[in-house]
Amino acid sequence: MQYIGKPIRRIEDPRLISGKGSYVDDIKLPGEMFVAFLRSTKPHAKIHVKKTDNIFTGDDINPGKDFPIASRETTYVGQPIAAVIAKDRYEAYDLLESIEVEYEDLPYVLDPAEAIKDEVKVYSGLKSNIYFQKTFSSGNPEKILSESLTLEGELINQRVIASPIEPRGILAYFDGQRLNVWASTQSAHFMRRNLVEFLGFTNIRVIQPDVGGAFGSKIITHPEQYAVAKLAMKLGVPLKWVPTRTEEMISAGHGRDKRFKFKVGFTRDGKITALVGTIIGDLGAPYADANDDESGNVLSTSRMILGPYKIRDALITSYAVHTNKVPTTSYRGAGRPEATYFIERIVNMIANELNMDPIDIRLKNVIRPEEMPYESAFGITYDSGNYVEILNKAREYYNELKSEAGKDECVGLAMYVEITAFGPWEVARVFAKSDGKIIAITGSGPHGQGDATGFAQIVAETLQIPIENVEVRWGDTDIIEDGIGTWGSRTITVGGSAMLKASEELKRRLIEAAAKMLQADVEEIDYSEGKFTNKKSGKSATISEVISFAYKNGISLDVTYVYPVSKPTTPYGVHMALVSVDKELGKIKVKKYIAIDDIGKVINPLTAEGQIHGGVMQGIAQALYEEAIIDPQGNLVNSNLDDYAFPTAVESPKYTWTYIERGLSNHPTGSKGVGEAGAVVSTPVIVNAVENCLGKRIYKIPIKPDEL
Amino acid sequence: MKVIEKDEKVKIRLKINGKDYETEVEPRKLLVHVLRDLGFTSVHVGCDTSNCGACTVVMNGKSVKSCTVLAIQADGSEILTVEGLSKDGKLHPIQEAFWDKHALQCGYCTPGMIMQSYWLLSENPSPSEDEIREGLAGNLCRCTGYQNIIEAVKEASQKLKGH
Repeated sequence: MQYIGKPIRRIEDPRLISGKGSYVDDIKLPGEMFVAFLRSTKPHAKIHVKKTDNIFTGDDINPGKDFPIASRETTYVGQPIAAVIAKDRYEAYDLLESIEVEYEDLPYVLDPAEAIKDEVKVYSGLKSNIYFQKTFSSGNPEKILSESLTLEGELINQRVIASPIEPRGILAYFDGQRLNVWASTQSAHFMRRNLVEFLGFTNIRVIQPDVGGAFGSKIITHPEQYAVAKLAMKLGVPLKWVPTRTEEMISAGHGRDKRFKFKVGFTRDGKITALVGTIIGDLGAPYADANDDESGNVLSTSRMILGPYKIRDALITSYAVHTNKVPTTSYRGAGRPEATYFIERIVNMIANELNMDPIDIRLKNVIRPEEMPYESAFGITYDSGNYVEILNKAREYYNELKSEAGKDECVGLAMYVEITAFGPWEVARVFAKSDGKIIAITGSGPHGQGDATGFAQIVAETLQIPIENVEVRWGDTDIIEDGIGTWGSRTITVGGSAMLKASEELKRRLIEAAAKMLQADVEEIDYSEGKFTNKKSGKSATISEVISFAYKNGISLDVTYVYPVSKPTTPYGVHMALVSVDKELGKIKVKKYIAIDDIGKVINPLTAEGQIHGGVMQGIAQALYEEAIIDPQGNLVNSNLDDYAFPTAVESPKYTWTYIERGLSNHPTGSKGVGEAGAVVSTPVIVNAVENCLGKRIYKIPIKPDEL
Repeated sequence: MKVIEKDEKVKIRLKINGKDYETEVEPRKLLVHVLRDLGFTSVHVGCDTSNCGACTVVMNGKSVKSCTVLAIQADGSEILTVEGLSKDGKLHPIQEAFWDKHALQCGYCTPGMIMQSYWLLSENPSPSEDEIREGLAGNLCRCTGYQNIIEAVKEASQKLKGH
């Protein structure tokens, strides 16, 4: 029985293709009421909300504080400033209209480069708009720059909105002893910890039901979720909150929004000698949960900006800065796409400057296989792989695309290395039911990625049983000890390693039970494909019989394994695209997209490829279509899925995916993460292609028709 | 002429997946919410401006976005949702193809996407790739990048022709 590495179709699908999924808004409790939030229409103002029955303000949620719900001072358009409760959503939105709010305008700042000056404070409670300023430095870049050819500019990686098709949501019910929560979240356990801390109350159960995507936007606990939990405790009736799309877009899922002012040094033959620059990341308003999340992403951008290249002389100053905008959070890639975008755009500019082939220039600069594991100048360890080999492999595809390119068509290429499988730990619980069924529970929280299928493959292969005998569950703080969550492309690798170790321990216990049953020493038991045999006597028992024996003899077959992680593991790849650029019509079309990745051991190539397709489409959309456009008054101009230019099947290219398994991770699965890789690299692939067609440098995205 | 006052409810009849339903609704209530209240929670809400198509159902033989139909407008109509596609516990070829081709991830757009594909293939049993792309352009998906959905519709088209 071999499952790992096979394109097993998903065990998640039968329910979902039959409409039998259960997302948070599908769950109903008797007597449930609907909550809606009134949101600030001002980027910065003193507020006074007139309180009447059924209207709750920041003072009911967080007395005297302005987060999560603003009580005195609002700091972004879209911030919740009051809540109403009604019998259904229609009446709740009627009721919202009746709330009276007085605003007293305060000065505000929308541009982080302005905010750095601290002339206008984003919030009166801040000492400075600068959340942090950090310097990353290695070697002697200024001196090297003065001896090199140089190129400089400022690259913008714009604000985009994650926009999962299912918005956020929560249903909360306090039964007098316990708070029961169902939420559209990336981790039940992480949300539970947040609610415990906020409410100062520990008897909380969180359930993550089916979740309609997230892409980073549902990692944090959102202001509305804290508020609904608090109100549910107060009122004792089940409360449900599900925002409209417009609310979702003006208040959540904002990501990226970084700029990089750079100066790069290089030699005439294409060796990059030094990189100096300043990164500014826009955190938006000071909502702690979001800021904790996104400031870490600014660090990821800064530390990964050297890419897969041997650049030892570098100096990067990084700022994470508040503005009066929606607090930014993780969005697929969480800081690494910006890093890859910046360095790959710079490499493309140098290649064009020197009239050099994009693969040759990368071959000149990448870390050599014999240097692995390699510690970058900014302290990131690239653990394994062969960057030279993957570039050489890419060349055949690249040349093919080149030869296909017609008039007004260009090929763009970019390379990435990225960090995945973050710690600090993950939990798996694997146990046998008395009827022989194996139940595998993960502490992570899949919400579309198909990890349950991967886990079933891992468990079935370890226990040598048919995959149909394994049930995979997650998303309930009551059914497993604890968990971290699904983000950072960590689930199959970290969650999977926990699963693998738990399965091995279950197998060990089964062998022990079988030894007792078959009157043998453990070493005398031979196990193969669900059958235990006493090598001495030839007597055997099936796995079901052994499980039954174990129950009757008081032997527990319930294993929980906590798998600790210290360092991320680094997948890499080369992606390229054939793009047509119609300057007259201002139309850009991605015709073909080819991805070659090394994500270590591939547990399931079908679902891994699905991750690449989805990530690549999101990255293409950032290059060509999407941007959170904020007007001078701080309003999101394009707050719906039409104006926001969300791509359809018409915009999607034809993708081809190939993988090599050269650089395995040190985890028991041997795998590395793939969830974010596509989005990490595809944006510069497309922009490089368009730049190659235009023959002029592109600094700002998305590339708009009138710029062609 | 029948006049219904603002706070008045009105009785409507819907035939959903072959069964008759009767319910009372306010005139302002959207069909999508009535379908969901009746238990057809496959019909999803993904936006508030009629762009995403997660609420797509087939109404009187046409694919419609049920967030953009008032429930009273649907009075007397026949509606098919994804819950009604499989017969005797056997998946419809479109559902089977979505599974085979890994054409869903989070599954939230899937019911609407499948109903749109169902309608598309009933209108045009042998669509070209471009016709599939155009035919699904009213249905947004954030997870898959669309290619596997297009492959699934191609496969379903082949299977349905073989029947």
